[in-house]
Amino acid sequence: MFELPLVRNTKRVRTVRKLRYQYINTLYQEYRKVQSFANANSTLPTPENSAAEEASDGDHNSADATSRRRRRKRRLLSVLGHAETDTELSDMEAEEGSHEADQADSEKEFFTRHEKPQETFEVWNTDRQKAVPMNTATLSYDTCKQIEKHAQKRVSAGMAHISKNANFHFQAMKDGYETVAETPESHHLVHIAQLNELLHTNIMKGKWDTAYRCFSLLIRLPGIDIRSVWGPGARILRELASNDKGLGTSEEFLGWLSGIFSSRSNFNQTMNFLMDPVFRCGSKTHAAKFVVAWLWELLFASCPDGTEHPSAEDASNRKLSHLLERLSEMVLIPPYMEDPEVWFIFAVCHLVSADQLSQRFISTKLRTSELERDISRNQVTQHITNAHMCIRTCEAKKEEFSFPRRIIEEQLACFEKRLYQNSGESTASDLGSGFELDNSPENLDTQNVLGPGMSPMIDEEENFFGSAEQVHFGFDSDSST
Amino acid sequence: MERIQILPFKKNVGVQLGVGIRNSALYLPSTSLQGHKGENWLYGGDTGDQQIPILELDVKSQEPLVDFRSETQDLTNATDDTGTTHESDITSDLSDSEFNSSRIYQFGPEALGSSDLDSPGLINLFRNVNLSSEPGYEAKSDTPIAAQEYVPRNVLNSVEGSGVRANNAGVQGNSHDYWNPAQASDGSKPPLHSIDPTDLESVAIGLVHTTADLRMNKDARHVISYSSGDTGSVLNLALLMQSDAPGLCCSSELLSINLNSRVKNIKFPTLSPSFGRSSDTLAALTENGLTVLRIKSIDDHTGKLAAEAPISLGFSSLEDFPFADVSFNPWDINEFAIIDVKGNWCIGTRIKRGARESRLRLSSNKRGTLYDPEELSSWRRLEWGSEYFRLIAVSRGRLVEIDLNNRSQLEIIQAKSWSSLRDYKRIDEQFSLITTSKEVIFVNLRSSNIERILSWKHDLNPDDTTLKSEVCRIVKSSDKEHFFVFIYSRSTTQVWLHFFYRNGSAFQSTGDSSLLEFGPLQGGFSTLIISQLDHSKTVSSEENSDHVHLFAAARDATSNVIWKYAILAREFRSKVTGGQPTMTLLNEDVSDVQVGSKQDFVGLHPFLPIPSAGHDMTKDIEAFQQYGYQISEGMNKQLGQWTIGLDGESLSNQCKSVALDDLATPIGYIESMEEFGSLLQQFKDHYKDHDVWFADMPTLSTALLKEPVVDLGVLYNKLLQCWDFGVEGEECITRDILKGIVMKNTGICSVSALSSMITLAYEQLGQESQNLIDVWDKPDPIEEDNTVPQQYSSLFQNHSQASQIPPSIKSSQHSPPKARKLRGRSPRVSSQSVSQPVPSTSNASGNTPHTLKTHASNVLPDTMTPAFTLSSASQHVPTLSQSQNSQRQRKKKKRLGGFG
Repeated sequence: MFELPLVRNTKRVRTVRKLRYQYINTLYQEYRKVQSFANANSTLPTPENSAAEEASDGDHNSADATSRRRRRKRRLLSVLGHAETDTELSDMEAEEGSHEADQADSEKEFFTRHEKPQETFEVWNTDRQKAVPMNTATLSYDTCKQIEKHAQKRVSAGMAHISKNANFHFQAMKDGYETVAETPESHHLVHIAQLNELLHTNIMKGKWDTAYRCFSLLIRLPGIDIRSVWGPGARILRELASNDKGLGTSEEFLGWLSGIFSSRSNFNQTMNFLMDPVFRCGSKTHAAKFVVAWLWELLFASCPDGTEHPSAEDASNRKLSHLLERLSEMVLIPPYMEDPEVWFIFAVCHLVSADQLSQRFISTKLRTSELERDISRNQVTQHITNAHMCIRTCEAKKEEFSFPRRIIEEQLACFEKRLYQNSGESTASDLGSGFELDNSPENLDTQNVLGPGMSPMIDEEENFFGSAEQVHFGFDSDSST
Repeated sequence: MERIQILPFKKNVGVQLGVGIRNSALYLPSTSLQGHKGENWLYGGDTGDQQIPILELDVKSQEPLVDFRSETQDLTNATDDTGTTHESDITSDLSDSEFNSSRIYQFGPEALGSSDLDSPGLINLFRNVNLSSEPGYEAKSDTPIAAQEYVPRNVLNSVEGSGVRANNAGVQGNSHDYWNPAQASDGSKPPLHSIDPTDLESVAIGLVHTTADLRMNKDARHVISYSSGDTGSVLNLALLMQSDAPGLCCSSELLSINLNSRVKNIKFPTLSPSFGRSSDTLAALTENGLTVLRIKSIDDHTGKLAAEAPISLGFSSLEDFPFADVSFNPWDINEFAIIDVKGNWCIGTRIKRGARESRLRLSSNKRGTLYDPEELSSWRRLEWGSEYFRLIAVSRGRLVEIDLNNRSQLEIIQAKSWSSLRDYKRIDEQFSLITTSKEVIFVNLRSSNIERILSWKHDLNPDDTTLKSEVCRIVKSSDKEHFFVFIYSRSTTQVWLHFFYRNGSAFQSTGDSSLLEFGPLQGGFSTLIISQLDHSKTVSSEENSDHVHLFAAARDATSNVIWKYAILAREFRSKVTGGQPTMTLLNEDVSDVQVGSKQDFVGLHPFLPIPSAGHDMTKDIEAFQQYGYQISEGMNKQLGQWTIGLDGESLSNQCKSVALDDLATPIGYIESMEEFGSLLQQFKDHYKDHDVWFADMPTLSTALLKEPVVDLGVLYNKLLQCWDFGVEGEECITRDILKGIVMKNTGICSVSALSSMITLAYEQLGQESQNLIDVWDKPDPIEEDNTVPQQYSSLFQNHSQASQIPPSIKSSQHSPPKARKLRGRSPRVSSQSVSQPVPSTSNASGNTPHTLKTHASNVLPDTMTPAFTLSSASQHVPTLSQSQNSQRQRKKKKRLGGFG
């Protein structure tokens, strides 16, 4: 019932796949032919028609310039009142000629019309501005049957010697049915499927020991791609590593993955892939998901939940500075230099550092000398500047990345104020008097009112944007309030 | 417009999560101002440790909600006007009396009055003729939609009597048997199966508010609607009422409408909450049209429903393709939209003018096509979008938003490469849930641009085309909501479940996914409906607690029962971490079994071998010694038996091989498999001189591991790497299993007996056959005697060669004394047949295969591949059937002679 972490590439699968793409391609060609005839014959070219056609051309087949030229010519002819029989014949011939080539790799041909996304499993287009005119003509039964008949005639040539099973699949598919997933037959596959099932069910039940066993067995079996199951692996290790010191932590595991599987390769759109790159691997244009997850996990680990600041943070400080170093190297090379999320992590790293350092200024426990305070004040300022810089870079990247910018800016401003709260209380008072009161615990109950508010972030977001007593810093908000 | 997701995310990607990924967090600074201390992060994928308590759901009770197996029986019985009294007698006589819905035709005594046959009452001319009185097969001229002119496969099957079993399961189970070249008739799962993707919902539960109720200021009622009958062409409506038992029960008063065509999709409209009411209509899509039904009144006491005459729209009214989905406008009760299997869509309205009958009319300008030649599946969904003028049309490869105001369309999702769309659920105007073969995705459709908010990789089988989803939203307060996402499939009875949580503008996934086990369903779900029914009753208690009580109705893929379930939140599980008590997989499952489910679990533990505590090497050595004695005694006895009746009739017995197990009682508990292996090796080596052949280790290891391993110790270690039983003491179990395998499968046979068997067999042949064999290769009559043993020795050499290869790992360096003892003890078999030409093994292995190989190209009769190959390529000898082998041998002999 779960996804197998390997490619099942039997002969039948290949045959059906090939047939499917072949059939789809021929259908597509036939449909275009019919559509262009219909457009040419029924209506004169109107701006709307052309726009729709251009849009669909741009979508599907920008490379296919010749056919477009041919179509335009045909339309002109039809407008002039010429018959289209001879052009049709030549058309047919031309397509028959290319038909041999189609058979070579129909899948490749299919994907010349479609982008293979790397970030998501599907191509998402969420911009309503990009809407195209509605296709108002309905498809008639006759046209559809005609298309299908032609397409089938052309495909059936290659179908003489396919197996019964493949034929069954194809026939069902052609008629709009769907086939049920087959259960694996070979012992090897059955073994993998069982282990995989156990792995997932045990994760779901929270039996981490058993899940760990399944995982460690599964990744040792031949044919298994560990990149397909790194998520469960990281999850298991996160649970187990805290108790079992012998095991590596999930950060180490993800770090290992990031080290082993490089992101330096190019993602070749024209290649036929059997597995998706979305969660599995990275390329020069796509930061691998496990690398990003690793960075996040490192960040979480350097500032874990539940620790009381600011004492006993030497270890986490060290981790944080390591992470900062690593990130500063990573953002110099693709794909990370173009990934806004990595820049955002970078910014948050600086934010966390600034927070932890500036803690010393408001904490009453740590008494430090003036010199040390000066040094750390400089550090905090630097972190804050860096954070601002990273945020700006993050926003400048072409992929739109949205995050609550206002909250982060506010936080940074708060940290900055902490530095000067002892020396100049008057300057800080207009921005958030809660921070001074913070020192006396009996005032804690009033802080929800006074503080510019980290706590409302958990409960209600409105306070960030809507409350009247909010201090606005003049940054343009990321959301309209 | 308000931002829905506060967590950082990329445009078009959203917060992309999966198992083990909790990316996209927000830092909560350590100002200690927060009410929640010690939390530094707001995770995208919260594992439920701190922030949001995990809800665990449990499937509690289950009972049939509707069982219409009996209904069909009643129906047919009621139509039987003659012979009903006798019928029961007959059916009880017949063995296959389980086909209740079938009518048995017989000749009554009055019809056979003049017959000479002195029958006691009835005569059955046919053993069993099942004529189904199924309305789907009836051809009526006056029905609004013409019936189909075809004979369903079912009818033929049931007339022939062969496929009657499929009568109950096949059609109703929706496992649309397209045509199936390899259909199994015995009920086992056929290897291939195709499914009609337009078979969407055969059950629906919806709220119905009749006009009368509205006037009386009554609440909306839950009405269940389902299809029944052999062809699934009867639409049934019943009121769901609160009963004493938790959940709802179905009223006994049933409104059945015969639609004369298979019902594929039933839909209740959901109106926008701003209306404050529910609709009173429902739509049923059949194979050949759309039927809209309006409920006139609901009787309070009996629960009887009354409906207006159904109004239909034939499939030909749009573009001659069957309709795939229908949807009602949430802002306009009378407006609906349909889409057909090729993607033609159209807006329609239900109009009623004056006293005339209301009818359905399709708009002439609000129509279009989303036909995509690259889309083969006929699965389509159509839903209203975020506004009254927006439609969402979904196919397997695309999700398109149609804007009727601007007359534009936007292809939001194009899923043609890595995944395909599986389901689309509209939660409300704002949120929708998209299920793809890889992920579940929450989408916000209401903002100026569409927002992909949050996705969760569900890891379910992406090839399963029958995945469907169900969302249940539980509103805690104005901006705190739980979303329960269920994914079910026809291939399994387990339902995948994941929680999502929205707190203001933070949309998070919480906890891990879980699986819900639903009770006595056979096969998977065809439809699962989950709703939180009793809003009014529990809303007060819910605000302060996490009590969740859901009602589920499920129709499974193979039976005619709709089950109802109660799903309750379990007590919060104490977070299970690594230091869990050592519970094993198998034992835990026993305790986890839900009451009422039929699965039988056997505690495997008592049967498993347990590693003994104080075991050391000395005990092993003792055991080996003991076993050494026993096995050599047994072997000697066996050798004795083989030599006794060498010439007698019992020769055929001699040729039977024995297993190691038969020689002596199996060895007890041991720990060193290496030692055991070397013991066996020595044993084999010793008896090889006695003309005995043993099955060798690589044969066994190839069967287990697909690689030849010579040494038992190595094999054991390899098996340990790949066998994991998930219980304690795995090494011990592996040892036990391997020991068993070796004992049972090490065959021993006597070569000498075989050779005499050959001669015997040859003698027993008739003269003609003997001549034939003689003439076969024209062998020298003198040579005849010599070739046979040699040939066989070479044949067996193939097998035994590998065992002669020196073991790669130590073969008991430190136990020569034991070996000597063993060898010394074994008495020489006096009666060993010296007369038989015993080929020396070294000779055979040195010469024969080599010469064979050099001439292999000349000798091989055809291009047959060898039955198995040995470990080393130089000793590659094809072993074919006996005759071929002997023939080859002879040929080779001849050639050898020629060269010599």
